[in-house]
Amino acid sequence: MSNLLLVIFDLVLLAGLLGVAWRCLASTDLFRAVVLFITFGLLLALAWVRLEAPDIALAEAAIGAGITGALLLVTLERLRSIAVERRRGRPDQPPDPAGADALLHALHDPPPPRRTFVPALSFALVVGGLMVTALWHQPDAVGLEPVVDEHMGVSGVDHPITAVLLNFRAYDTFLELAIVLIALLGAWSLGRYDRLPARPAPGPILPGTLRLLVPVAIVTGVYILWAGSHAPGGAFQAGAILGAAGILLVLARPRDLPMAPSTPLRLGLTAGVGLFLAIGIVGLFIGPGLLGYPPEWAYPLIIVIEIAATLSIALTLVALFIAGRPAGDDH
Amino acid sequence: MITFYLMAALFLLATILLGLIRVLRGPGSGDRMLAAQLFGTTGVTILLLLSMTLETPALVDVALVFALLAVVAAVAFVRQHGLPEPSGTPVHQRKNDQKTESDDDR
Amino acid sequence: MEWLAQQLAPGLIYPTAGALLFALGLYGLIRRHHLVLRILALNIMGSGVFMVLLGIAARGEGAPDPVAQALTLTGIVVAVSATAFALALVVRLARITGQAMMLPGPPDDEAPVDDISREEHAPSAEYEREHRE
Repeated sequence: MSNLLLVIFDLVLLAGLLGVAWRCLASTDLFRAVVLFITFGLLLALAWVRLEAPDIALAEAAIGAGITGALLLVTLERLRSIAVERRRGRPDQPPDPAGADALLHALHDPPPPRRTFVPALSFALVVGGLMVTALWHQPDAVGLEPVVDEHMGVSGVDHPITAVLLNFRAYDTFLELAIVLIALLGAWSLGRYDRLPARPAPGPILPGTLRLLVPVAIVTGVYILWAGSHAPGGAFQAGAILGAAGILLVLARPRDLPMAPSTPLRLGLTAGVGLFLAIGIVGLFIGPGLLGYPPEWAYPLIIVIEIAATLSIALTLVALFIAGRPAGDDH
Repeated sequence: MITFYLMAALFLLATILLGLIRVLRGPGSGDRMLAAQLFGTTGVTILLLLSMTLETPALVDVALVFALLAVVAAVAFVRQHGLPEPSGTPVHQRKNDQKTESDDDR
Repeated sequence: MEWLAQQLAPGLIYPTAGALLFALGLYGLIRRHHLVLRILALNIMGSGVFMVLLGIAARGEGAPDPVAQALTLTGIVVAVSATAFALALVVRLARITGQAMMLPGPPDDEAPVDDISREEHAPSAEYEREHRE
């Protein structure tokens, strides 16, 4: 009975996921698409739970619910305020070549023309069909679970995913931290920080909510980081939660955002990559190899790296949310 | 008991799919956002029920994070849209010509 | 019933749904023009890939493959930072050109008449009538 119910749950969940994704991509109203995408993230977290991946569900909850939604909403508002500005025709800007009508597109995408329907559909069907066929004929493999299990003793932690991320495949995590940093550098290269578009929200509710929630979010983030050594959790999830707390703080006062001083900010942003690389190089000389640790030192080293990585990921996510270099460091 | 939990989870999932009607039809952006917030709450409950049925205590952490962070999108929405709009206005026409420059949100 | 439940094990239906999500995202990526929608389409494609990975990892008896899960975790964080960068690029593009869409180039009279994308970006008469007032 409960097996059958689980199967029904899976089928309803997947139907919901596909339906939400389809309506999201078919929306002409961008705001609706964004709200549907937030819902998609929620359903996705439930799907990860069903696939026995609570770590991924944690990351999806923090990133999908906390960060992506706010990021997309703020982007829409930025696009709208750009459209309004251009419509007004600022004197220091050349007149808009496409005319004022083009601005209507800022938050709307007209339905796609019919002539791309058949090629796009057939291409997607071929790709999807190939994938489904390949997946159905793929034999069951044991995977790397036994190998990981066998070496848990030397990993220094008790949670297999943390062991894989920070010990067995530390390369991946190191390069991932580097990619996150590069994404931030890319965003910074586009120009300086400009104020988040924000409307006044009078009343005590918003400040009160933030005052309550931000400390709780910080405690939760630290808890998830600590839990990572023996249970689902770890640096990414904790970084995402702390980043969401930072985004809440940014949203609390978007007009007069107090900018972090430049040097500590940059040190914090690079702490994860830097420390990881330093420990990795030390491992090259006295340990088993580049990014390897001596087993008896593995636990403290992993904790140190995780703390630094959490800090960096959180700061980077907030900086990516703000987008643009901090004001006042042009030298 | 497990069967009951699962049925409850299934029912809640069905209410999410029903609530999607509000997201799809709107009419105002507030309606859509509020429906999404409601999904967040329902999702927390489904996670807790699943944590009982699948016997994975870690899911409680996931539910905690969800409950905590679902508000971020709501705060972003409130920040971008301010006070409620009269319903029925197409989104792209709203507040186009009254971009607020006042700093009365402090 | 039990046979059906076995056939519809998570290890099979989730990868299938992941492949469908990927195809759906691909379809949206080709057809939609607004860049924010295209970024959403890319994200949906990415989620499909993650679902395939995790679904395969959950196959068989015993605990799921932790390496696949760790890879997915890495992928999610990379995806969110790439999304944030892409959205920053879209805002920058809109600031420069006034459009959040891919335009084939600066509008000029020499552009070939049968250039599909240019034609599409001109708002249609009905669309204008609908959204004017």
